[in-house]
Parts: sequence; C-alpha cells; structure tokens
Amino acid sequence: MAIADAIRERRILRFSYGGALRRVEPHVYGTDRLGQELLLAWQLGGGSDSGTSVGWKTFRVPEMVAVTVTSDSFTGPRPAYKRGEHVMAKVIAEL
Amino acid sequence: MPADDRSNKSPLLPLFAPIEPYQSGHLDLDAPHRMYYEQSGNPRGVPVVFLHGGPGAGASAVHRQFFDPAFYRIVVFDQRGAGRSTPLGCLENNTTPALVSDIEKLRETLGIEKWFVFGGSWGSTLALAYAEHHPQRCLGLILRGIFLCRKSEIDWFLYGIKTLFPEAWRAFAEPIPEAERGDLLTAYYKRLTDADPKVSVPAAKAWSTYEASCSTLLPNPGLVADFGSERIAYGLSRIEAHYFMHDIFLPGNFLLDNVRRLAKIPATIVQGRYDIVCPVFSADDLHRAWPEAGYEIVADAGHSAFEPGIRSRLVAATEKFKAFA
Repeated sequence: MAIADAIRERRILRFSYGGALRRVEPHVYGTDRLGQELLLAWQLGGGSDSGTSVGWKTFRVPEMVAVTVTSDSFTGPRPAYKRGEHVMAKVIAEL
Repeated sequence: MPADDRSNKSPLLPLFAPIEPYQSGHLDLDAPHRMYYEQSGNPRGVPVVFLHGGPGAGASAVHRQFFDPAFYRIVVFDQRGAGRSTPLGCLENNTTPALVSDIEKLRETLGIEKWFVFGGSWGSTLALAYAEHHPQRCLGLILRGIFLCRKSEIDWFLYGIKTLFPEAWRAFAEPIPEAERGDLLTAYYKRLTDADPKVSVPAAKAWSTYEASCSTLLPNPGLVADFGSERIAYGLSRIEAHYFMHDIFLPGNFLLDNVRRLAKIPATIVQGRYDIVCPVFSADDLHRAWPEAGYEIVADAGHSAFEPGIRSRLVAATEKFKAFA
C-alpha cells in the first residue's frame, strides 16, 4: 500500500486531489468512525480547496488519484505534530 | 427472434425513487485492496447484486433505482480498484477470478444464500463469469449491453468506432504520437500506468471521455462530463486497459464455451440496437449459444443503462423477475 509505505519510509507522496496536484509529507493514515479512509498530512505545495497550499490537510483516501511514493524523503514529524492527536478511530500507519 | 420494441407502444417505465443505504461498509480483501459495499431497499427482501461496468467505472447512487426497494435487498459495491474501493485504479491482483471471488466473499459476509445478478456492459461480462463459476448462487440474471471482451470487440472499441464517431476517435487517438497509433492499447497502457500524474491523468481523461462520447444514441454532455472527471476516468481507464491487455484473465472464449451451465437459470438480455461501445453482434452470439435466455433489442437505444428504452426494459425485467424469487 503506497500510503503506508510512504509513512514507514518517510517519503513524500504525490497525487492529484480535487483536480490539483499535491506533494505532502504523510503523517497518519487510518479510518474514521464510519470506516472512511483518511490521510492526515503536511502539504508542501500544490493545489488547495481552502486557499492555503502549505499546511495541515486531511484527505479522503478514495478521492486521491494517481498516488505515487516519490524518491524524496523527509526527516520526520512536523514540530507541531503530536502522535495520537487525530480524528482516526483506527490507525493503519502513523509516523 | 428477439422482441423488438418498434411494435411496443406501452409507456416507458421510470426508475424507482432515489433511496439511501440502510447499511454500508468495507471488506478487507487481499492487500492492498479494500472494497466498498452498501445495502439498500428491504433488509428482509430478495437479494440482488448490482455489478457495475468498466471494468473500473464504479457504482453510484442511481444504480439502486433499478429495483423495487420494497421487494429487493439491493446490494451495490465497487469492484476492487474502482469507485469508493481503495486504492483507486490499483492493478495489483486485479483479475476476473479475483473479482469473482470478491463477489463470493461479499455474499458470504452478508449471509446471503442466493441472489439475482444484474449487470451491464462489463457488468454483463462479470455476471456471466460469476454465474458460470457459481450457478448455484444465482436466482436469475439480468444483463444489458453484452460485452464478451473478445479480440474483435476490443479492436472495435479501439478502432472500429472511428466509422461512426470520427471526431471522438480523433480526440482519443491524436494525443498518441502517430508512430504508436497502430497499437493504441499498448500506447495508452504505457501512459495510464506512468508514475507521473501529469502523464497518467490526461491519458485517463482522454480514454474515458472517448468511451462516454460513444455511449448514447443522442449526445449526453452530463455523462461525458462525469466520465471525464479525474476520479472516474482514472479508475475506469487504467482497469479497462489492464483487463484488455490481459484478455480479461480468462481462457479464450471461456464465457461462451461455458454458457450451457446457465441453461436452467432465468435470464434476460437487454441490448440497444445502436450500442456502439458493445455492438449487438456479441449479444447475438450470446443469445444463439443460450437461447433459453430472454432477449430484447431496444430499437432506439445506444449503450448506456439510462437510455430511455433500456432503462424501461431493465425496470420491467426486475419487476418480472420477482416471480422467480
């Protein structure tokens, strides 16, 4: 699974979402209480629905198109990130 | 002889009213696949499973509306790699035998012993493959826009359609350099499986838009826009090309060679005369091999399940099949 692999290997993910290309540092991949798959990530750049192209974003995994694990790595969690503080009911992979 | 609706003056039947599922969930398949499913209608009703097209098109809310929700327990799911199943467009272990076993896994999970199977286009292909492997699980089959995925049908899709839709075909072929157009399937497969979304996503949109543009008797811009959306296009084009490249992962002519296994199952075939995506010759071949199945050619319809005459015949079929429950 590309998303879990990217978290494990600390690789930047690239995909298209809402019609725009994104590059993100994936932090937590899991499911919410309804079983919907979500990804919490720090977006490095690309498109945005909210008007902010850099920052924390939660993505609905079934809507992520052309997900690719890039060869670019990142060093680890963003300073503001607190492990366990997220909306996931079940965690599949976490930094 | 098939019934031909030129003589049929009865009014067209509408779809049933929109409904919401009473339950939905996900099944973990072999990694990395996770499959979305939902149930709507009557929880104690007669089960029917809806098989969407493509492969890779995914199902949508309107597909529930072919069935009387007071009578049927309506099971809709997205085949691996399609729609709300994840990962979207994933080709790993994505084969016809895998899809057939996913249907069985879903049936067992839901505690269903037997069900009706309803599918159009690729959904008809998969319905035949499923029923030929598990005839004892099928109460009946309702099939539309027959696709047997033979070489003649794939060649027609890639090149033959040019005869009737030259504009759509040019929009499909022209992004591919002329030197590669002799094998459009390989050329597209290469681009659709490229790791760079800037390559794969435009190829996906071109493929999917081409298919939608040729799916209806009269132009349907809404359908073309839907198919051209990134999510539908990506799942549909990649999985279709993958199945076409691999002869749907079944031995040659498997579906016709094994159709006698279905001889005792109530079945009906609904086919648009002007279906350009899945031309009538395949429905004709199927019906000659399986004359026990009902066969209706809709005289004024193309491929889509939502062509008025096809929609009406499909609803009439689900009503008629209540008697076989």
